[in-house]
Amino acid sequence: MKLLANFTKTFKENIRDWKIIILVIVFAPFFVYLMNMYLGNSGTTVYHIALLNHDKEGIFAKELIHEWKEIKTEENASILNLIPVSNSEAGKKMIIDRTADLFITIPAGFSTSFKHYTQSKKGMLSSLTSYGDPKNIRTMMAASFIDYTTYNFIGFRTGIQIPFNIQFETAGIQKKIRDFDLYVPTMLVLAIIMMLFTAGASIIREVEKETITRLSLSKLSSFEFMTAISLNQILIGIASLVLTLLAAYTVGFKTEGSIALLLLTGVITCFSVVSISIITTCFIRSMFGLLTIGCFPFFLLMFFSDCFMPLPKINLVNLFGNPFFLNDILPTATAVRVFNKILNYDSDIGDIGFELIWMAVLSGIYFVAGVLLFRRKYKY
Amino acid sequence: MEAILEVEHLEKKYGDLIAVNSISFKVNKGEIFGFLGPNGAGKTTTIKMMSGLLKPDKGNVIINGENKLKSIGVCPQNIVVWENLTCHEQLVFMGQMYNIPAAEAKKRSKELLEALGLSDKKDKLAKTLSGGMLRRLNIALALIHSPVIVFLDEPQAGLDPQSRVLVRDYIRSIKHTTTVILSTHDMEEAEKLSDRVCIIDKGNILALGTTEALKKANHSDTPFKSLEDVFINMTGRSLRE
Repeated sequence: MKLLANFTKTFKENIRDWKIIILVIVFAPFFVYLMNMYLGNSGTTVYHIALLNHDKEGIFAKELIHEWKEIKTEENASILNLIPVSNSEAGKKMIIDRTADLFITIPAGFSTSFKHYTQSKKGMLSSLTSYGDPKNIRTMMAASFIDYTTYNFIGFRTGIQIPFNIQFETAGIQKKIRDFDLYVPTMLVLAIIMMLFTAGASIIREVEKETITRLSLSKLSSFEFMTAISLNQILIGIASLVLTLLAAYTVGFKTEGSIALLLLTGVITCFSVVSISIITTCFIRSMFGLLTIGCFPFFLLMFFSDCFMPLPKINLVNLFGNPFFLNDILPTATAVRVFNKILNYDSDIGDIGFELIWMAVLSGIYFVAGVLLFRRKYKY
Repeated sequence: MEAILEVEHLEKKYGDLIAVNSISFKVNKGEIFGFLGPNGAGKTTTIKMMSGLLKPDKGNVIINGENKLKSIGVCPQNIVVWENLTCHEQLVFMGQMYNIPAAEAKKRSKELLEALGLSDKKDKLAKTLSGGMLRRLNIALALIHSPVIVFLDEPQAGLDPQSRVLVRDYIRSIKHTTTVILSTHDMEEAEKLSDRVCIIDKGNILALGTTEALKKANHSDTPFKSLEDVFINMTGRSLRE
């Protein structure tokens, strides 16, 4: 009865303190639209190529450029955006400014050397030069497209057949995944990470207003107190998750993954964030502290959950055939992977079972640690 | 008289500072016990130990013959309410926290709100109430579970004269079922309400008895005129932090 009464009371307080709830709930959907603005409309990423053509009149140079332009998506959109430049400095500056991913120079006499080779089968073609920033992953991608197309073109026009071919197949289901689609799981986790503040506020409010003393006198246990708050926060988290997913749907995101599994993962992730929030509140005593010191775990969670950028995975160990990455000590990091599997690869419970169990166990450990710390700090 | 609360050699230290120095006293069932002292005298620390909010370094607190702190109500000096709950909601909630069935808690809430003049504010959020109303709600929250002992720390601070009379009358009306331990700086109020008073300073009990007995205990021939005179005589005129 105490748990139910405490749940109802916290629920009413949350609803009446609606401003913070609204802020938390709309945060991730807002970022979905923002992300879609940058990535959604292009469907597939477009790579920008600065092009300096010294062989303007050459027929083969024109044909090669045409081949590059013909690299297209299933929706017939060009993958390479060729930007003519007048000199080498301009092209290199674009690489430094990152307004171009690759800078290609076609030398004068390229077509002449091409013609000569096709007729005599002797000598070498004039070399194309490419210039890029190896630290920019887009440079590598753009170079791959250019290389692949160029070798095919040369092979076709010279009749030289390379006795080797790479057949590309998609992972998992045969579904076209846009860059934007890969960010949706991250946005879902972001929606839940925001609960760090609402969960923290629910706890700190009781400490700051000293109502925790009344609860302590009534012998309401820390466990009951925290469980009631956790259940409320899970409701908020799931509402935020559903809104974020709906926002993604409105901008063209599609999934055939199990929504039930998605919600189950959401509930476990919410529980983990609440647990981390409980631990956080043990180091602060006021709302001001929550909004300042509380930002530290918030950004840590975001960073290690790939919300800023995808981090390289450091594999610590393999457990029952499943890789265990360093980031997995934070359940939200695992959640990004699980959401991605469900939404983009239609994974079933068999595929994500290990991760779900891991997240639940880890969240449980964090929850117990949080309650014990809270009890120690507030003698409650 | 039957003692409902027995404090035995209660002691609390904070580093070198002795906040409460092995004090002992008894509070009788059905009395209003004034617990007086200047700022920093050790009142709040003693009340916290008696109510179980603070663990004493030494000594015992025995309530109703048991070494268990149960059925205690505490009305803290600060207003401690849930701002986003109505008066009725928070009283019922606290009742449920003390394992009172919801129906009974609702009935008790209505009684308390009526007794403390808050009936018409029953469904108002606490954050919309005036300071005086909040003070009365603060008292109601301490009494929702009909405790055998209630600690009232400055219950009348900031109340207008009408509210003071109402609260005073109400405190008197409950003393037969709930023993009241009243901590206040208002000597006039303490004199009017208390059956006995205990004056504490620097962690030690300076005097304990009825107000009349303390007034007569002057070493000169003329008794003190008021409890305030007794208090100043015992604790001195120097300002406290």
